[in-house]
Amino acid sequence: MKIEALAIDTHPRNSWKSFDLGCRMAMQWWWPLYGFMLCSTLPFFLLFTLLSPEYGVYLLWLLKPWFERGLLYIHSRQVFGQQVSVVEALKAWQSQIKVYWLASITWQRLSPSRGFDLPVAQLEGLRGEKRKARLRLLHQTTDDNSFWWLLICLHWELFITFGLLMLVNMLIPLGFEWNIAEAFYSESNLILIAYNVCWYFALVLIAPLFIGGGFAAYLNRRILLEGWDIELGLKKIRNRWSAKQISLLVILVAGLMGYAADAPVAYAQTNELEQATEELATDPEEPQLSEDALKKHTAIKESLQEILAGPPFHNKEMVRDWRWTGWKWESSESEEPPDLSGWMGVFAVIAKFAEVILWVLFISIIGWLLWLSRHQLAKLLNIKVDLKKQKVDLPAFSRHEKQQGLPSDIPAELDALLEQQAYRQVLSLLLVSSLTYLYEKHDLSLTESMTELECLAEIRSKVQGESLRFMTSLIQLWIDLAWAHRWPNAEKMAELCTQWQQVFLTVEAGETP
Amino acid sequence: MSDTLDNDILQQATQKIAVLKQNVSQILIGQDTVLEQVIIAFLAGGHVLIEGVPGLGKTLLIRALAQSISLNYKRVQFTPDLMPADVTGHSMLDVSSGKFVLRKGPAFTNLLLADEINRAPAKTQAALLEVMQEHQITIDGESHTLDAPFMVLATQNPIDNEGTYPLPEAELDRFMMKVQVEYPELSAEIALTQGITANSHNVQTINSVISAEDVLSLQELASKVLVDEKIVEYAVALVRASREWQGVAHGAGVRASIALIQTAKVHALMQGSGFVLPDHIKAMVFPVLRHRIILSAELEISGVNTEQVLNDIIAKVPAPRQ
Repeated sequence: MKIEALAIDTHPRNSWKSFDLGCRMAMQWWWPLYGFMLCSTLPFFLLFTLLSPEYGVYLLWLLKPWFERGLLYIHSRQVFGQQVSVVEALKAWQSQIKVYWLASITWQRLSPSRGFDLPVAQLEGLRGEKRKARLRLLHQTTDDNSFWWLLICLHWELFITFGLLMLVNMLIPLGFEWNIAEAFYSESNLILIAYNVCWYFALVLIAPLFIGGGFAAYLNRRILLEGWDIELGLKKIRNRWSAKQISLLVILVAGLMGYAADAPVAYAQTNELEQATEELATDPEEPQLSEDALKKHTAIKESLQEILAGPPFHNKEMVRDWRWTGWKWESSESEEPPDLSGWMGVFAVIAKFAEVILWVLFISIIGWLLWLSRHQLAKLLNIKVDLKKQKVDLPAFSRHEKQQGLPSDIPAELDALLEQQAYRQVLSLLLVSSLTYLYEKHDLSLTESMTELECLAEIRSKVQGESLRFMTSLIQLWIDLAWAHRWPNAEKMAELCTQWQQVFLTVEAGETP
Repeated sequence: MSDTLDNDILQQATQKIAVLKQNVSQILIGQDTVLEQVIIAFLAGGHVLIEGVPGLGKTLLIRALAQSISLNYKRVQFTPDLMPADVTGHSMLDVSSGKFVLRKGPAFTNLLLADEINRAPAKTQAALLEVMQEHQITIDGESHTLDAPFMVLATQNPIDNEGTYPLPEAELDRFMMKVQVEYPELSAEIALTQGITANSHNVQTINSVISAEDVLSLQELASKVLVDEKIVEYAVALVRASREWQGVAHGAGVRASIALIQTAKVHALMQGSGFVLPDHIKAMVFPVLRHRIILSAELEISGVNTEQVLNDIIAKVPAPRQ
């Protein structure tokens, strides 16, 4: 890389000026850039649109990074003074895609700094960890606006696309009935093709600017990091001056750097060094003094070398992370404690007590809020809450069952109630136990506000077979008793209890009803 | 079927109602729910406020109903210059005899269609208060009882509010139901269009299927439908919930509870049941309560409508349990 061959001025810029420079570069070399872009993308665009007017452009959008490789190739050659023709760029294009060909259209496709990162892989040829380290270094600045550059270019693309669409709409003759807003929601391919063409033109127009901006930002970052401007300046001086002049200049620069390196530590010793040098210079006739001065001079020099070798002059390391720096009041520990005698002491105790209360209150409120939003949190964190274990307010159908709950031995309880001819309680127990069972097995959506027929409709939607038949006759019997005041006969009740045992007890034993 | 109602009588009653419904639906196609609710209100002895855009067959409905029962039918087009006497009637001096003669207004009928009731000013609307509540008309201090059965069917347009007088709450409360008439489904609309253009949907062509006496006996039968105490408690709980509901500025009153039970009884009778189920009450909540609830401004601004509130009330109030 011959930086002296750079076609751009190498002074340090901020990122926005770099993007501006990139645009000017693209305008300067527009012919090879746009020629390449049209030649490489047009066949793909036509093919994809032909295959699918609806989804073809998405495929082209996905493959866009491959076309950008060719643009970067042209930019990178032109910026170093090498003229690249469209044909040359097309010939070289295949070799430029090889590096990260798959990554660039898959997981790196949506990288917000794609334009800025591309030269590292394509021009520097770095891969894997080296590439990552290089990118880390390049991005290690507060002036990294590569994402905003991408966003700006994206907006340009959108504005141009819709602007062109509007232009087409405006240029349609009056006699021709075609409304763009209506057509947009219609199933016609015409609007799709029109949109595709407009988007394609926007793509061709913006891509060289985007890559140019990213490349210029990359170059600028390297100028800043590697001091290309200084190097170039020195090279120019070397070309102008003789070897002696250069040596003097180097000594002068080194001296100035040494002087300015670290004033608080090195200043005194530098003074001593100067003093010793002066001594050496002023008393050449006195060997004793000269020896001392030499020793002193060597010691100071060694000491200086030691300081210059250590931090902060070398092995600079920048670490960015979060660290606990302690409570603010901890820093004032050394201060004298306040006088807390008398009323102030009482207030201090109250304040301490209030602090504890407030903390307890605060933690309780947080806990309460978390408890209230436990279902939402479980949904958010994708944790399955075991609803079965929660208390469910099922329709009880009888206040007795609601108050007492289900007995442990239901068949025995049913027999006892049948003997007492307590049919209302028998039906209610059958209903509640069956509903509880079906709710657990089939996850029924039953609520307190549901009537008997609504419960049956819900059961019908989720339960089939013997269970459904049993529930239908059970609920009908319950309705007759509860709302029509018709007392069931003993045989029917006994039959129902037997059916219940057949349906639900066999299910519990592992059979499917 | 029931302890109180004989099974045969119940079956006959259900059959009569089904025939009446079938007869009217020959003319009014695709409005089964509207028709069912109007018949329920009629047999429950109530009045109906029908809301719907023009041209949905509101007048046709009442004409077909009157024709099917061979009842008198009158229509009054409510306009801003309509006076109370134009509805109820007035005394007029007979010059030949020198005495005041009663000139009966259109309210002296069995079925009164008050078309676009909200176009008339409040004083004319108020003329209907006594008629609707007491089934009588007082002219010059003399009360005239109306023939039974009697029902007022009032219509109003929900979209055209220019120059209208919204019905006062007292008037609204006297309507047992507010029925929403929507556009019919595609197939029904096609059938309706074909029928009318072929002149086969003429009200005059339908026969009278039940008599006024039948109507009165059905009304009496409906009053005998069994209602458990818990069902009444449920109906009252729903109405009370509408009063205590957050965001409801004005809830339903006692008349709503009574109307809920009355209409649920007819609904049960219509389905051949001699007793009322909680489902019958639920089915009547919307037509009975929707016009009796006034939402707060906050709720209206936030886009909540009465139907949503009623749905929430139904979902919140526990169903009756024995």
